[in-house]
Parts: sequence; C-alpha cells; structure tokens
Amino acid sequence: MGLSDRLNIGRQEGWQAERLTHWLLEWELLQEPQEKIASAEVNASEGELPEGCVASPDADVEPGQIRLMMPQGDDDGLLFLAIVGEGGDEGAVFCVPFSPLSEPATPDELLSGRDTPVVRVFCLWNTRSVALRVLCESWIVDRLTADELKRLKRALLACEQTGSVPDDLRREAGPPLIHPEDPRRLYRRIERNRIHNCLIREHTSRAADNVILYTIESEQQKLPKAAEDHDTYEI
Amino acid sequence: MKPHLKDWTEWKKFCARALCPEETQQRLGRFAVSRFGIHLKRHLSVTNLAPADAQRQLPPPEDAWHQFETYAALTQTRQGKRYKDWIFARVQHSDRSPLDTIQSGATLIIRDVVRAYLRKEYTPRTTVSLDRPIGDGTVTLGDLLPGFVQNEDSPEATEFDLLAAKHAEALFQTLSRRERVGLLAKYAGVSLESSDVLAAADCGKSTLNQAVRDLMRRLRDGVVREYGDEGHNTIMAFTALMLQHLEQIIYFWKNSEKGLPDSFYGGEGKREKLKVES
Repeated sequence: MGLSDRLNIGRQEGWQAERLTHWLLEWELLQEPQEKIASAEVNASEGELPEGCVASPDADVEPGQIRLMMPQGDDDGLLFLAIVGEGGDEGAVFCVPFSPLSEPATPDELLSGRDTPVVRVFCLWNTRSVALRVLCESWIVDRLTADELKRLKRALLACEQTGSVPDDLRREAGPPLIHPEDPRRLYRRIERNRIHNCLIREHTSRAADNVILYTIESEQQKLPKAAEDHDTYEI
Repeated sequence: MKPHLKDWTEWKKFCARALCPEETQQRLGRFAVSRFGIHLKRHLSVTNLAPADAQRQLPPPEDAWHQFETYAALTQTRQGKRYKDWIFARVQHSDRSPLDTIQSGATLIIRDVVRAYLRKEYTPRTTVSLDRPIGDGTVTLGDLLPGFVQNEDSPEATEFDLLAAKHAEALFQTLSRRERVGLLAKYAGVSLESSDVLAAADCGKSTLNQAVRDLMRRLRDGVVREYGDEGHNTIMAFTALMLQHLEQIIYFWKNSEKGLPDSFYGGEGKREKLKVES
C-alpha cells in the first residue's frame, strides 16, 4: 500500500492562491525601480517653512494607540505602529508595525479589519519592544477599539505559541511560507531591516542623554533563533 | 504652473485642497496628476494595461488629489491626517529645499496611491495559475503553495513527517559548505549577490546561484525517484515537509558555524517576553 493511499493529502485552499497572487502583484509593484523624480521638475527654493507648521509629537503613550513615526530621512516611507502594551525593558512598550502592502503575506500577518491601506495589515511577526522616549517622538493618529485591541492580542498570543493566528482568524491571515525561494522571505528581511533602521536611527539621533531603552541591537551575534522561529519569547 | 511653497503651506493650514484659493487648487491638482502619471507608467509592466492606455487612465486632478488626501488619512480630524505633518517634518532632515522636500514626501505617498489603485483596478499581466512562474522563474505559485497532510495527527502523517525529516537530514549531510551558505541565505531572505554571503561561500554569484539551483534540483529529483508513483500532491507535500525540516536543520547549523555574515542574524535583535493581558 503506497503513501498516498494511507494519507489524506489536500491542496491549499483557493483563497490562499488568490491572496498570494494579489500579494505578489503588490510586491512586484513595490520592487519597481523608484528613481527620484528630477529636481528640475520642481520650482527652485522659495524660502523657509513658517514656524509651527508641523504639529508637536504626542508624548503620552498608551496601549491601543496607532502612531505615525516622525520621518528621519529623505527616503523613509510612512511607518505606522499599533501600541499593544508594556513589555521588554522598563520604560518600553510592545508595538506591532503595519505592513506597507495591503494583503497579509504569511500566517503571522493579519488583516486589521480597516480599509485604510496604510493600516490594513498587522505584521505580528515584526512585533518589537520600543522605548517610550522613542515613541514620544511620534504622532497619535487613531486608536484601536477595545475589540480590535483584544483581537490583536489574541492573535499575537497564538503567533507566539504556534507561528500563526488562531484557527478562526486563519482566513484573515496569509498563506504558509515554506519554500526557500519564496519572495516573501526577501520581503520579511527588508521589512525587518526597515523598521529596525527607522527606530534605531530615531533613537540614536536623540541619544544625547545616552539613555538606551530600545531593546533591538546589542545581541545580534548571539541570536539563538532564526527569523522564522517563534519561541524565543513568550506571552 | 508648478506649485509654490505657499500652495503647500496653505493646503496644510486649511487642511483640505478644496478650501484653498482657486489657483492653489489648480497647481496642486496638476502636481498630483503629473506624479500619478509618472508612477503609472513605471508600473505598467506588471499589469495588464497597455502603454497607450496609461494616459487615458489618468484621473482628473480632483480625483488624483482626493486619492492622495485620503490614502493615509485614518480619520477626518487633523489628528487622523498627521501624514501632512509627516510630509512637512521631512524638511528638517533634508538638505534639499523645503519645497523640494515636501514634494518628494507627497510623491512617495502618491507612489503608494498608484500601487493601491493598480491593485484594485487591474489584474496581473499573467493569468492566475498554480503553474505561474514567480520572480526569476525558478519557482511557481504551486511550489509556494504545496499540498499538505490533512489528517496530520494520524500515525500515517507522523510516519510521513519522520520520513521527510530523515530525508532532509540525509540531504543536508551531503551538502558542501557553499551549498549550506547559499541555502541559508535563501531561507534568511538575503541576496546571493550580497558580498558577505559570497565571501562566506567563497565563490562568485553565478557559482553560488548555480549551486543552489543544483541543490533544489537534487532535492526534487530525489523525492521523485523515491516516491514518483505516489502522485503529484503527495510529492509536493513531501517536498514541502522536507523543506521545512531542512530550514530547521540549516538554522541549527548556523548557530554552530563560524564565519557566517552578520546579515544571517536578522535585524530583529533581542526579543523580550511579551506581557499581554488578554
């Protein structure tokens, strides 16, 4: 009796192929070269900005807030984070970044339930502990409802334990990531580095008092687990 | 009629283009359409849009501006539209003129607006099929979404998994260091053209790419040789299990291997215990 006779092998469900196809299209679009538009197309300098043109950042960091990080460089895109709760070192909170793409890539990315493209997908796998003093340099743009925050925490818990969202949220997450040549691996590398660099730069550019609360860095050479492992911290 | 700095500061002050003076509205609208067109042309190659259609697809200024103004707005309040502050805050981190910097920030957002627009409005140039090649064509959509064992708690499924683990371990033992470095780079999402990966593999990019391609072919050929009469779905499911075991093995190897590039260690840094009260 062959293996196939004793096993019940199924195909991945249709929605997964559809979601991955949409994701791949967006990814291809994102990968298109984005050379800067020639400065000749814009008018020459016309002086300085008036005072008070930019709103002050919002200092009070609380769970449930959706924050937009201050830009740190010319090439930075928009970076939105959801504040989940206290965690990491003292004076730090856990933040879940939102994906730049509008489809969940992997089983540990989840549709937020919102339509606004910039906050459509939670990157649960990219959750980070970020110092409050770093987050104080960002703006509150909205708040998750109590139900949204509860759902996010439940999904985070499941991801930490199993690597994917709870079964009842599975259709709101991305397809499995298995193949070594899957472009989603490059996406995750790029996203991980983007968030890391943005927050590190945010921190170091304001590090005059040498208070280091942000918990990225310092142990890169000793990381015991790979990017796809999920058991290095617990909820 | 290109926008002046004053047009942008008025837009920021009044919080909406529609509340700005007529001339400001016109200049900003033309700016949005111009940037929309540039990005639309750049993205044509991955959609089913013909180049001749690009000009016809350009929205009128009001629509282009509306899409730009609403793309990153979470609410209709000033707080929900902090992306406007983000655009202006970029000025303090730039060596360029305030006008140039503001417009480059707006352009970054319009680029994303166009991506979202194309995703909604146009299908990929290639018809959706599991045989569809992905990226450079080394894998298909079907390779990325293989079959899986449905009765995964059954003794048969456990046996299947153990068999895949055994095959993965046996394959790993035959791999050269170069092949291991190449495979690890793939799993870690690191480019095989990266200089530190090439240094660790001690070869050029063509050699390393070929080594990884050969390895993947060996893996597939080995599965087909052993289980060729089991049917396509079983072969795909077995290959997927092998790849999952191989990933665990290669990362375990990474932790004991010296001289591997920093880029293999991720940028996530130390992870902390996540305190979440559910």
